[in-house]
Amino acid sequence: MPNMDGLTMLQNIRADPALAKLPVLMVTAEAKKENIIAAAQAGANGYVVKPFTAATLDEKLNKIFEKLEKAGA
Amino acid sequence: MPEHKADQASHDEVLTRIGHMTRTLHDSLRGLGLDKLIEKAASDIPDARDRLDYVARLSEQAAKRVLDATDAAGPLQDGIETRSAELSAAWQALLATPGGADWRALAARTVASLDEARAAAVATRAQLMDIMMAQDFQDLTGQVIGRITGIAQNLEKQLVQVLIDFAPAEIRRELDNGLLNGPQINPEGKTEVVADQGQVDDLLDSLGF
Repeated sequence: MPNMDGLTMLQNIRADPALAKLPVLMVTAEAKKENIIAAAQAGANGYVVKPFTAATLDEKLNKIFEKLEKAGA
Repeated sequence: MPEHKADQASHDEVLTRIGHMTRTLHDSLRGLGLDKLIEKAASDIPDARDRLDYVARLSEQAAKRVLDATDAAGPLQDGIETRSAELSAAWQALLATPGGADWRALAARTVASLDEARAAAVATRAQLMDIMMAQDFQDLTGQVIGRITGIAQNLEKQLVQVLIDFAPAEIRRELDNGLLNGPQINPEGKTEVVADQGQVDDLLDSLGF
């Protein structure tokens, strides 16, 4: 991405009170374990590594929505 | 003009420091043996060029041999086809003629034609063999190309190493830990990267995310 990488953007989103609750699904080619963990610790709701299939994306999105509903209920 | 003097002094200071930096860089390169590496990398390039010329030459020769052999074999096959059609028509005509008296002459023609066909088949087989043998270039060019790939990799490694060694500390850290590693082309045998989505999920599950 231009201007900043995804991890920095995620950190900025979580730091902004207006956006802090926004669900974020990381979609990336980054496969280093330390960076995956860093994203999870920074508050990513999911992590999809490229190349990915439509089924994977669907599954991850549904998982996020399920968790949101549980949290809301 | 004290102000002008001060300007001049700082100007000289900058030049002196750039001079020192250049000297330090030069000495470091020599000290690390990188000047030799770069020299070697540079001398590899003409070698790679010669090898590529060799590959181009062998491929061209092979292509010519194949085309020549095909050109030579084509007319032989055409001849067999034409004569076979003629004989077939003649025999059919003879068989259709009641009490046909001419069969001896036609049989002689047929025998001659079969002999010609046999000779043509032998010649064609020789051309096919030549086409096969022309592929021997692949054995050699494959090795040469492998060698050139090695040279290119080596060159890249050496240049990247120079860049990394002389990168400012801050950038060097980013090189190691950046987010632009790109897709994992060959995750086999590496423990610090994941190979697929399943491993991502397992990793995150194991950490309770």
